[in-house]
Amino acid sequence: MENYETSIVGEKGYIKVSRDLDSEQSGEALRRAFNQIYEQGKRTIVLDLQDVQIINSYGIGKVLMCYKHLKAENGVLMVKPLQGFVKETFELLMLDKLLPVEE
Amino acid sequence: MDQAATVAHILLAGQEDESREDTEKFLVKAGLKFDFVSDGQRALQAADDIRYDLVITDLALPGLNGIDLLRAIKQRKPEQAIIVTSASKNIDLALEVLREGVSDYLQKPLDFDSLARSVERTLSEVRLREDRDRLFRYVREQFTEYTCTSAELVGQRFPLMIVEKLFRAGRIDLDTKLKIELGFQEALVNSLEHGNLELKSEWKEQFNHEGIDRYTSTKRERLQDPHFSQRLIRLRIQLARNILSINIKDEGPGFLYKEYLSARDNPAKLLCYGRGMALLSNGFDEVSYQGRGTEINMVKYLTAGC
Repeated sequence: MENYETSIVGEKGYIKVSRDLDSEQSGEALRRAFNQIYEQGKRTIVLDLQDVQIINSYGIGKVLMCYKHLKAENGVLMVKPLQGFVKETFELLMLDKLLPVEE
Repeated sequence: MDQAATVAHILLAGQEDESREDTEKFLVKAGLKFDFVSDGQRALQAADDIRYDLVITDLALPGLNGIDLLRAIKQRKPEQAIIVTSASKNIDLALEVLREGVSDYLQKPLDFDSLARSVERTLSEVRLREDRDRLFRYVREQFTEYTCTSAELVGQRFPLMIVEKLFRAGRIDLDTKLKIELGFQEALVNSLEHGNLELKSEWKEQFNHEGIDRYTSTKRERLQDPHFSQRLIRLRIQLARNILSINIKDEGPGFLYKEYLSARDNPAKLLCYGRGMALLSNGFDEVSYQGRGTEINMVKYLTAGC
C-alpha cells in the first residue's frame, strides 16, 4: 500500500504527493495522508504536487474532499506553487481561486 | 557507429588527395557503405540517381563547387543530410554554408573523432526523421472499434494507441496528447461508472461506519450484478486525415448532460460535479451528446500548430 510523505512544521501539516493523482490507489493514498495529519489536529494543510504530472477528476475530487473537510472547521487547504499540466488543470477547474498558494 | 549507421549509404565528394584517402579509410573502418566522386557535376548526378543517407562534400570541387553543389541538392531534395568539409578558414563562408541547412561544417585537416561524432549524430537524425515519416503515413487514416462489458473495463486504463502514434509521428505535441488522453479517459469513466453502473457523484461524500464511501461500495456491488456489469461499452475511434473522432456509447439510462456541460463555467457547481466533463471538453474541439446522454462524440482537429 502506497503512502505519501507527511510532515508537520509548526501549525501546518504537509503532504508530498509523489505520483500522478489519476487512480483510486493514488487518491486513497492522499486520503490516508490527509487523515493522518487531520487527526493530529492540524487545520492548515499544504499539498505539495510538484512531482505530479497528471491529475484527473478522481484526483481533483480527493483534493476537494480535503478542502471541504478543512473548510467545515474553518481550516485551510493550501498548495505549493503548481506548474505545467497540473497548474493548467487547476486553473481550468477554477481551483486556483479556492486554494491559496504557499510561497 | 551504431547498428543503424552501419547500413547507411554515403556519397563522398572530394578531391583526389591525401585527405580523401584518410576519409575513405575512416568510412571503411566504420563499416559504412560509400561511393566516391571527385567532380561536382558527377556528385550532383549521383545524388539525383541514388537515395543517399548522407552526403559528405568538400567545398573545393572541380566542375561544380561545393556550395553550388549543396544548394542544387537541397533544391532537389530538401531533406538530404549533408556534411561539408573545407580547408578554408573564411568564417563568412562557413556561416554561408551553415545557412544553407547543412548538418555540419568541419574544418580540414579533419579530426576523425569529430567526423565520427558528426556522422553518427547526422545518421541518427536521418533515422529518426525516416521513422517519423513512416509513422506519419501510417497514421493518416485508421478506424478501430471495440466492444467490452463494464466488468472488463473497470479499473483498466484503456490505451488510446492512435494518440500515441500521432505523438510519435510528430503530429501532436505532448500537451495535446495529455489533454486528449485525459479527456478520453474521463469520457470513458463517465460512460462506465455514471452510465452503465448508474453511480451518482454525490455518493462519493457519503460514508458508512467503516469509512467507505457509498460510491465505492455501490460500485463493488454493481460489478457483481450482471444487470450492471454485463452492460456494454462501444467505442469507435476514427482518424480521417486531420480529424480524430471518438464515439463512446453506453447502455445506461442516460443523464442530464446539459446540466453537467454548463457546470464548467460555474465554480460553485464545479465544487460538486462536472469536473470530468470540463476536463474532457478541454481535450477536444467538439463534444456532443446524443439521445439521453448515452452516446458521446468527441472531435479533435489536428492542425500544424496542434
